[in-house]
Amino acid sequence: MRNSTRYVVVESKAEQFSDPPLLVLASLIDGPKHGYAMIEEIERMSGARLGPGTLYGAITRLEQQRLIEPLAVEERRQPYRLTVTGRRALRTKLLAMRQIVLAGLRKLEAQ
Amino acid sequence: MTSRTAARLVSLYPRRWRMRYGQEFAALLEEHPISLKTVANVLRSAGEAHMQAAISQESNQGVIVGSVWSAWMMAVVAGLILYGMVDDSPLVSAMAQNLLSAASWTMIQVGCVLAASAIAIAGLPLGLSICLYAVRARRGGVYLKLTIPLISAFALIAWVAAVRMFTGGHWAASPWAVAFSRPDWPAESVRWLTGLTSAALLGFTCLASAASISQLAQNSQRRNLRIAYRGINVEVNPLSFACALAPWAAVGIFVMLAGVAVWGYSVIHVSATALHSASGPFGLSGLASWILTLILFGFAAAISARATWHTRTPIAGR
Repeated sequence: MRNSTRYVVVESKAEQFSDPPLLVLASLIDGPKHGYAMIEEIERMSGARLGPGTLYGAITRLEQQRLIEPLAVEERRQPYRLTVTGRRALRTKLLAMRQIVLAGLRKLEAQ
Repeated sequence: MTSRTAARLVSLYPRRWRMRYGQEFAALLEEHPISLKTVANVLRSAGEAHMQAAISQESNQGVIVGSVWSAWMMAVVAGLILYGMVDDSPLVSAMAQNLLSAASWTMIQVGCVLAASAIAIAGLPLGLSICLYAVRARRGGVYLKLTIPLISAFALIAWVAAVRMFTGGHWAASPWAVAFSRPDWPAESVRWLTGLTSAALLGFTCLASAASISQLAQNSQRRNLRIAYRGINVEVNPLSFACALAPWAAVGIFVMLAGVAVWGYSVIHVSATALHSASGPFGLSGLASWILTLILFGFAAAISARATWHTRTPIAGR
């Protein structure tokens, strides 16, 4: 957890514009992770540090949609991994986002 | 944070959510230092989980009410087939001579009263609540769904009355009488055509009623009903109230199913000829009609039992 006021502002803004389920899916691309490792990986990737409640809200929804699945518990920590459907859904979403990003940047630069 | 603080925060979530995620979530919280931001985040997430649980439960209750109503409609059709077969047939005298047949027939009637009373008691507040919502919110779609079963039932009655009038009061367009012939009845082709139309209208009435009531129970918004009488104030959630009566309706349908099974068995053993000489709809034999009735009651019982089971095990709160 960061303590500086500046970081908290940046963090909250990053979380405001983030999509927690998407970030959770992306954090699991390179292998199964438990909650804390997901939070660390998401912070490394996006700069947004998800709160534990937000993380588990996303995990609940993703497991319900069968996009992630739990593995065997390791010392009270529950690792999760992407399902085949989850990997496919993530790829589709990222490709769609890439198109939006490219189109958005083109328009911004044209102005 | 300490395991005690984590446990307190986890306890804010819905019970079923805690059963699934409580342990691992507590372990994650213990890895976070306690801070206002973390607590606020958990509080917000717990609130969302409760809202999700409430929405899931409400939708589940709508499915339960819709299922029980559909089962009741199926039981009504099965009951009509049975009653139409027994009415004015040799089965009446055969039943009078046998205690088991008479007792099982009474059992069917008791089951019918049980299920019908549960449906009526559950349906009145729910129907009233949906009507109030439709009037206040001026929802045309809700009006339409409410009136479709009534319009189709009216069309069936109007059809039977019109046919009766055109045939001089001799023929009632009954599917149970198409295979018989009497001098004052119309030709066979007319009997079949009108009988089939009556059966189609009856089927449509039941299907439309099942579909529209199920959709209304699942999708329309309802308000709690407040009953104030002599200083006693009671607030009722009509959907929860209807769900609470689902087991009562299911028991009624099961009693009817058991009654029909025993009744058919006893009639076959006491007077097989009476059963064979009785006639079901569209000239079906008595035995075939009994089997058809049994199948329909079986489906109705299975649907109502499933709905009742779901009242005991609501959808997991998220």
